[in-house]
Amino acid sequence: MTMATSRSGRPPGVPTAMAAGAAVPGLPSRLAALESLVELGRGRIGAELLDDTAALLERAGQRLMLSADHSVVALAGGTGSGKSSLFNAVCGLELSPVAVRRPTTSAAHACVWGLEGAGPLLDWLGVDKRYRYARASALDRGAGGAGGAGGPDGQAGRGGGDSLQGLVLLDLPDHDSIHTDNREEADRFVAVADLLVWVLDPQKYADAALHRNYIVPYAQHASVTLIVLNQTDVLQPEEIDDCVADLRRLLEAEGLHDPHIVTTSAVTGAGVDGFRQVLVDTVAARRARTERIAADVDKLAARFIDYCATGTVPAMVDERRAATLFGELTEAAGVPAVAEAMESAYELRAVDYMGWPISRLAARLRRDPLRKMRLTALREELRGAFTGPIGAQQGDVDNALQGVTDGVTGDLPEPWQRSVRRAARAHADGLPDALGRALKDSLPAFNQVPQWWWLVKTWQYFLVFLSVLGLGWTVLLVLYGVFGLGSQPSPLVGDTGLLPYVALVVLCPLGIGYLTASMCRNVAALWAAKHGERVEQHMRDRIAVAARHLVLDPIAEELSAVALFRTEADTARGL
Amino acid sequence: MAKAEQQAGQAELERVLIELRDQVESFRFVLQAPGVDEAKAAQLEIRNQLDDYVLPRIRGDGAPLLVVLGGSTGAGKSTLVNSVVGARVSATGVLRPTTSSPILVCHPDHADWFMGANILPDMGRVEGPAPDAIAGDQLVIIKSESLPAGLALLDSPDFDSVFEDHYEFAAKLMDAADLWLCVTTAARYADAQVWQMLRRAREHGASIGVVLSRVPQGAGSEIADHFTALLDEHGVGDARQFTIPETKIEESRLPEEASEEIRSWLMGIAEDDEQRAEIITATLGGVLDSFRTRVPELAKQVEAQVEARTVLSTEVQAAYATALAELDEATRNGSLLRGEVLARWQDFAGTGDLVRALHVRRGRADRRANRRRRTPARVRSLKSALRSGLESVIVAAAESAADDVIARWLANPAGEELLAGRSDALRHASAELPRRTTRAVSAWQDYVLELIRTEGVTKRTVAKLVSFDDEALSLVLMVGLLGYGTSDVAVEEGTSAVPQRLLKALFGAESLRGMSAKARADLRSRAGTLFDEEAIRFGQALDAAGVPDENTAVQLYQATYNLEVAR
Repeated sequence: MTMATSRSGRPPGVPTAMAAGAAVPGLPSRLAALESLVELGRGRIGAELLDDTAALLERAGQRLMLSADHSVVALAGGTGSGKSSLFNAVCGLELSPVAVRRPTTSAAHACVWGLEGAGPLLDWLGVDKRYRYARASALDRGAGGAGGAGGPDGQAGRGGGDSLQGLVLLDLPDHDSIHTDNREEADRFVAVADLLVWVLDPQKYADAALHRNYIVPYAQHASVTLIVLNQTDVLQPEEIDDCVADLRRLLEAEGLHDPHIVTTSAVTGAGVDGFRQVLVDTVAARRARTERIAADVDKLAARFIDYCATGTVPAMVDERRAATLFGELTEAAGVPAVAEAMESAYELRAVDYMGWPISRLAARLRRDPLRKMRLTALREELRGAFTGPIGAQQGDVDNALQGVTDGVTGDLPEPWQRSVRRAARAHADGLPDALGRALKDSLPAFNQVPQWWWLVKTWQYFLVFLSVLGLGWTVLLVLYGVFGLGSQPSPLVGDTGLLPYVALVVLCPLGIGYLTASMCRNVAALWAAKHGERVEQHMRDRIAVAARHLVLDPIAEELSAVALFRTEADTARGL
Repeated sequence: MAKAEQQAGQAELERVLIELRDQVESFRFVLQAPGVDEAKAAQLEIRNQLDDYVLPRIRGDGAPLLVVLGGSTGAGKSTLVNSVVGARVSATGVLRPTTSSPILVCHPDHADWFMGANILPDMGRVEGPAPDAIAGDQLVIIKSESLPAGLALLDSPDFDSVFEDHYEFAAKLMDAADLWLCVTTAARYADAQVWQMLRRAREHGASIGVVLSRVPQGAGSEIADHFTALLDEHGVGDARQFTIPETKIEESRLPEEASEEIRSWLMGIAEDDEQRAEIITATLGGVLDSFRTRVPELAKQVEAQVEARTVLSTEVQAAYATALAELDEATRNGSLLRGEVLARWQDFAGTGDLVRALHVRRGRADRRANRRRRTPARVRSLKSALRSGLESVIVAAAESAADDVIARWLANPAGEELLAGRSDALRHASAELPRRTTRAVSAWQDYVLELIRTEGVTKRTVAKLVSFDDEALSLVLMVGLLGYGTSDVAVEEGTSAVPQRLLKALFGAESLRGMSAKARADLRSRAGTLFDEEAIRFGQALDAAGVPDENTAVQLYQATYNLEVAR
């Protein structure tokens, strides 16, 4: 007979701190980690896993709140393997119906040793009130005959190790019969029981239905799984060992490490005491509850591995790619073009202010195609075309965002790749406008005119005034001096000798004005070029700020979520 | 005469069946759809049943009746075979599952027929008694004098043990049986798996017998009654039923009295030619009858495949149609005139270069030399800004369309499977797209320039006074087309923005409308071509999967019909 060896509990009576999950170190923090995994994963990774996790958290929370003094042991197995017979043998009474017709048991039966606090637990388990039975510990048909006269605290004197006080034994319906609702009922209990006891028999121990649906999925629950090979009475003694060895080989091949196998015969009673002793140990240790949850957490946490990044998760988009992004966004916003257009506008305005008024007049008189087409108003509108930058090309922005995450998502699992890409594009629609605003803020006001332009303008008009004055003087000189028109009001207008000097007064301002205009235009162009460069740099900086805020920060946030997710998953796995 | 006719009929039936087999084999289910896994299994089963049973049975007239024992692990199939044969031919034991390779016991006269690749042609043959370790797909053939000539027994592996291939063999052998004997026990007769197999046998047209073994002493009638009730409930109530009590097993055999009923029944069948022929005909008829529903069901699944394919390609079309519509909108509502394009336009229009593109006739004076140098620079900048703007909006639309298709396909189980492993390649627009787009947009710009040259008939009143620069005006037309500060309606009403007013003054409203329509249509068709080329990649992915076409379904229906005619 093979016995469970690893579960010899601590001696009863030793005060145990039964804070939730205390029996398995780190369980509360692992559950907390699972909780934050659910929070982090919502909307990012597969909903099925998250739903399962949430369900486990709820189940664990409820179980940990319910009686810590009780261990729920479920007898599960195929139809006809003798679950009910075994149940009755342990209880010492005919509580669950036993028959040859299959399937026999269609609702779970429960037997409780020590009712105190078990009510809510049974309610939570969902055992029908009709099928609940209570055993007082004192009436127990103990293994050694010496009934464990223990109190509710499990102190049982000399026979303490034999007390089943605190046991909730469940007899489940079969899982493999034609009644499919039996299977659902069985599944429900298998999912919540603290200790799983698979009752097998020599005829069916290799059934696919059991191994595929239960043993393999619960392979990680080895610490809270007990295999009972029942009906050993049909085998010869030497066949039993062969059978157990074969079963052990099968179970280990399926990933159930070091399975505890107990052989019993409910008919002859052989081995039932051994099985009882395992239950006694389990109840005394009072650890099955938390071990079960820990096993559930183990199994579930392992599923998160697929969603964990393997390599190092970069904290940020690297500088080179960030620079590329800034460059592309700068292009998208047309910064060089905006700067150039601004320079042109500046120069044009400079000419408006400081140009030589006379050459402007001359240009006005030139043949104008617009006037010929009666579209003079258009000229003003064209002049007003400088409205400043408006937004950026959505297409360019989209294309720029496509590549920015390539470098960081490489090692990430697919769902995270998607979520990082989504984070990069979170503000894609608003980005063009944001870039446009950034540019607008960095441009100087358009109607702002340097003071010296006014000076030059005044100077230019003064020169015009001078030359007009000189022209008037010349006319007077010619009228009075050359043609001798009437009496001279003053020698200044009569003396023809002054004519060359007055001509100079007329011509010099013209020359000076022209020179001033071209000089100022050059100065303005130079200043515009310099100013333009500065503005362009300023615009680039503003775009970088906007891009950091709207693109890189969301990516960094997502990446930190990736890293946190991995940390939490490691915690959940108990690493 | 009658015999010749019968032979001709048989040859015709065989031809039709081979045709059906080829038809069933000719395609694969590749797209994930509801019920496709079942359909794959059904396809394989039909083909196997044709090869394993129907064709050999039609060809091999007079071959012995093959009784296949199937059942749960531990039900005692091997014990039963040993008991009927009267010798230990099949291993028995407490370890489960016991029988791993199927064992066929027959009279020495027929051993050759079974050794030949008649029935179950794709399984290997080993002459028994067999060595211990034999691969599962070997048929161990044991000769036994104690079996009558008309009977062969096949001990098949269990169908419910942890070894999945055992299930497959059990199912395969069931389909090859003239008579399928289902062996189960008192402990497991209510197992779901037993009834699933019985249902399967019934649907596949097998003749069925059931054996309930290991019935505990004293409980026989209660269990038997319940079992009979269950048989009736599951529609196999007419099957012949046997009961074997739980007894001592010696030398891997049941006591005489326990197996006598079955033994004598089997022997009776074997010796009575008429009854044997009846069972064989009934089973063959049942199998052929079952094709009446099974093949059309397969055809329905093929149609579902075709449907799934259509759905997927519709998704692709829809995604790219959306992209084209978005592009249309973007090139109409002025959203393209932002960023660089707008800045270049401002530079071009605001500095007067636009006006300078118009020349007063006769006034070609000296200062042109001075301006010529400056004008093309701004024109070139605007032109390239327009080009790159259009390019990026097209590429972005194609990217988002590809992404959209991926998302749509991922939402569809068929598409999800199809994409497995290649979604990365398809997620982005193709690598050549930027180059092709550049070409397409340049070609469009040339086309617009050509339009201005050839169709831009200048209003006569204006032509006398003003000449213009084609290139610059083509850009003005493009900017206008892209919706500079206006919409279509506004153009019609005349209160429109600069480009339109200028162009209208030059060309007249009608000519402008014509040019705009042509230029827009041309851009649209070029973008459409680009998108079609992008969409082809998804079409190729679909084609590469090898989805069966509509014809396959039609041919399956036709083959079923032919079979009915030939029978």
